[in-house]
Amino acid sequence: MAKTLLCRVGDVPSDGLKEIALEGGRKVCVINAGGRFHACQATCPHEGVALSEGCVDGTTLTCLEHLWQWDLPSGAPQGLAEAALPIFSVEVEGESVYLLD
Amino acid sequence: MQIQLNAKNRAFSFDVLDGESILYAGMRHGLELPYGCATGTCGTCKVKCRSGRCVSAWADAPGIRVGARDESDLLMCQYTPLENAVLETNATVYKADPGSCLPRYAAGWITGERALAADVMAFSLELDRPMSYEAGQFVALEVPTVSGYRVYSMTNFSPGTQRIDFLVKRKPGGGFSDWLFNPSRPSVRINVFGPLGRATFSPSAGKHLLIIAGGSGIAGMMAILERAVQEGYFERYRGHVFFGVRTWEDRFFLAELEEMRAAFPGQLCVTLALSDDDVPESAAVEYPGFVFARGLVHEVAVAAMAGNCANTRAYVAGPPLAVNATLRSLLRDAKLAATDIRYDKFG
Repeated sequence: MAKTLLCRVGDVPSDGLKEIALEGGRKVCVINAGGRFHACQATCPHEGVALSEGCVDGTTLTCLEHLWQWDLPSGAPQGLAEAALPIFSVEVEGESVYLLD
Repeated sequence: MQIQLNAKNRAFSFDVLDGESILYAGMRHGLELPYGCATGTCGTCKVKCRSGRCVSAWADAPGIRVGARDESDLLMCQYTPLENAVLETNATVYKADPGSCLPRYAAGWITGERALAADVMAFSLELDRPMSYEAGQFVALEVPTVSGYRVYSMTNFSPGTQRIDFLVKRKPGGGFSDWLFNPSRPSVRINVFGPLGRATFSPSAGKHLLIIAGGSGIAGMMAILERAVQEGYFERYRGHVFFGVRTWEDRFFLAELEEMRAAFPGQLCVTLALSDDDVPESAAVEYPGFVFARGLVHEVAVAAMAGNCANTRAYVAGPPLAVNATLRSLLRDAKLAATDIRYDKFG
């Protein structure tokens, strides 16, 4: 399993989102849901809008473009969303957040 | 030309008139196609072209750059087919409900222009045929001397009317508003397509209303309020209107809002938020029934409504960044469900 450094814990405020560009051009969105870290694809499965412009509240992630929502950490669609959101495994080690895949 | 649209749930086919946008054609045929602005900026109507040549009336339409993009993408609102074409969308598309107000073409002539503020004008269109629409909807307008359609929300609610009312905020360099504000413009036929838009109100909503609008975003809200007042909706449900302008000098529609508020005292509340200006003392004298606040309208609204949003339907209109900030606050702070929020982003 590959372990890739995404960011420092302090880089993403509580209930915040941040897009991270990895080596090779891959992008992921890091989510700090009240202190619990998650990572997902960087763009909304609806129209490809950056999810880092969205918002997170508790266990719900929302894309503000058309209010598609997903449960965290399952990525299951909620409300208006018509597609699931792929969620990636992350690990917090000290002050660092890693992507596991 | 014939379009076949393969949606997520099923396929449709429909005819497109010569030069007509694919979006308008599909909607005329009663399809609930994905769209937002209907004029090339938001990207919501982006689909993939699998076969057939289509051309754009506006090659640089910014909507094509919203979100992910590949070479087969096209905006249904801007493209017309040159031959039979097959399109594909990952959206679910349904046929419109029987009896719904399907959009169609009409002709209109401007009448009743009046200045509401320094850069805001109201006007009416006399239509060549009656139009029915839902409160909160808009139409697309085209004038011969300006390329492409622009959309404006109706400020009145009058089923089957031949007179629809609008307001326009002057946008420097904006083709339609420059044309409209030109005092020497000739009287010309205006092409109308509508009604459009899903941020609509019906009394069957059965919820308290929260209305948050910046500047000309109040336009469609006036139709929503007019319908609610006509139906006596505020006898049973509360209404909170938060209207934001930059300065006291930019205010408009206050007399109309006051008339509606006074009809339902205690049930319909109106707050005017000034983003760039302190509230003058004369404001409370002139409109003693209003609440006044300094600040961005969505921040004023969410602060005032904290803990008071149970069984509420929110309507939000304004520029995209302001609407997104409002949506974020309504979801996170006011704890509204996404399904209880209707919004229009424009600008």
